[in-house]
Amino acid sequence: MDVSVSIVCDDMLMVDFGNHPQANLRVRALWALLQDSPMMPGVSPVAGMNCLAFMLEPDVTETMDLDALAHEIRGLAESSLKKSPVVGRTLEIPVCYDARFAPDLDRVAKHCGLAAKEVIRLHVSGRYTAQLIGFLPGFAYMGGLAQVLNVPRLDTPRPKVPAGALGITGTQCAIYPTASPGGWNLIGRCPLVLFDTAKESPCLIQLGDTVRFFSISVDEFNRLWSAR
Amino acid sequence: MVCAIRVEQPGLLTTIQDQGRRNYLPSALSRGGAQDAAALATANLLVGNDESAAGLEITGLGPTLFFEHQACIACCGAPVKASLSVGKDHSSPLPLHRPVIISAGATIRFAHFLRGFRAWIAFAGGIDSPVLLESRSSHLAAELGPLHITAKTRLTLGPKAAPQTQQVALRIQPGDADNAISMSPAAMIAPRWSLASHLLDEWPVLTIRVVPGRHFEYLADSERSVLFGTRWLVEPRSNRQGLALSGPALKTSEMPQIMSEPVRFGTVQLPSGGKPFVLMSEHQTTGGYPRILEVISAARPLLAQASPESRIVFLPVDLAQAKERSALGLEDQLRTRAALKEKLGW
Repeated sequence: MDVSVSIVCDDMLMVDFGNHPQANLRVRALWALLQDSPMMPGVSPVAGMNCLAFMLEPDVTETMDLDALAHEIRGLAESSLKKSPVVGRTLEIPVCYDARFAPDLDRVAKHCGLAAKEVIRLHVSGRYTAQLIGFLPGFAYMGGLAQVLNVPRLDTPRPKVPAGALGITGTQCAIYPTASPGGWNLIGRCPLVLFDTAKESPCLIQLGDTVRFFSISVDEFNRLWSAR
Repeated sequence: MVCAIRVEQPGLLTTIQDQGRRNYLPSALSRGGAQDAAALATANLLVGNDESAAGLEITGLGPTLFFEHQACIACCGAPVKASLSVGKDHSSPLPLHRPVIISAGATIRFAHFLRGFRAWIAFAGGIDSPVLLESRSSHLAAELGPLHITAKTRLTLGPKAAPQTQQVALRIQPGDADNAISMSPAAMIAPRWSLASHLLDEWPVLTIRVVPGRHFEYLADSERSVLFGTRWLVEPRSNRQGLALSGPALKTSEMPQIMSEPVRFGTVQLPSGGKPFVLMSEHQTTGGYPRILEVISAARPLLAQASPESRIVFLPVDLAQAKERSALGLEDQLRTRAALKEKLGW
């Protein structure tokens, strides 16, 4: 696998694993390595889908030898190729697939040539991996959606998707942590808090976690939602 | 005693800001904080605070503040028109870029900016608002912290407000004509000296130094000429998350499909419409648009001054020049500290 390390700016470097099918796995392996042996203070890693960036704080930017840092990062990236990716926790997350929370379910079912119930069954039976935390605080891009459920994003994103909405697109699914604009196809809603500012690790779903969903009733959803 | 300030008019957009949240990028929460973190840090140093103390970021049109108690403030950033008065007496201009002791019962009306768009007000003792995820700053895009200062907001200052104010007062004696300026009736006392401010010489044009981004190579030569030859107009929909620019659309047909990758304050993206978009401190942490430029670290404070109707010119530099610029910034910072040590004793 090709690994390139580049200096993006005077306070940002990037390791890129390219478009290799294993690239995201390698990003998570490097992430795991960096959790075990952190970088020097003032240099923070941030994972992308196929690449991983290192952001420099202002107090180290002025004096940093970028070429030396790039060399060190290349060494880390290469040694991470031999390492297995971070094996995260396994989370069981409740979702209510009732029609009132699934405005796109019928269209998705039609697009895939399936019954709506079958779409739900396929989604619930999947095992997903948090491949990227991005877009919004606590928003996890979860890979592993059944190929048969592959639908494009909405042509026109909704101006406002409610907090907890579960969307699918391509081979990924995700839950919107807060109300926001969104272009994914909504097939359910999760009552849990995805980004909790009272916690030291505010994200419910973290990079590399395995996620399974279970279906709950509207009553159960309402009960959990009001306990938020 | 708790020092407090009452907001009488909130201004266009006034928020509580500090140095932001540095530890939550992996949770997809950008740093946020003051758009010019160094300017707020300097304002804090002027009033004897730790650099990380919370102050106000004022935008476009400033607030009106009533001081219930004596306080020491410093305003840094773009030159803002501000007047100070007690009761019905005539007002006088608020001196900028230096500590100013404001009398109890005085009102400051911050008005429009002469140049630029943002300034930062530090208060001795710092604003004592609740801490959320290690910071007091409002992150509007993530809806964290108090989202707006309103006419009903009462700002309370930290416990060191009074002793720090006294310490400044001892250094700037009102009787000493060489050292201090004051008003009659005394609404304020301030030193005659101020820190130099050399931003915004070409206002309303901002020359922003950039290095080529990861996908710059996909731009044809003709598009590069347009990118660097255009005075890009800052659109009114720009905010703390990013600057939307308008100008001739760049051809994006040769741009690659991008998987989401980490971006930062200063990343310049090129969405399919062909108009560059500059990320500000409340940016999304990852982005799937091609990135054509990266604003060098030393040039980011200038981005904070981009108002709607101002114009941005991108000036390409190389990494060596970027490093040189940031070294100059560091020297400047050290000089400021040395000067404050001499003038104020900290």
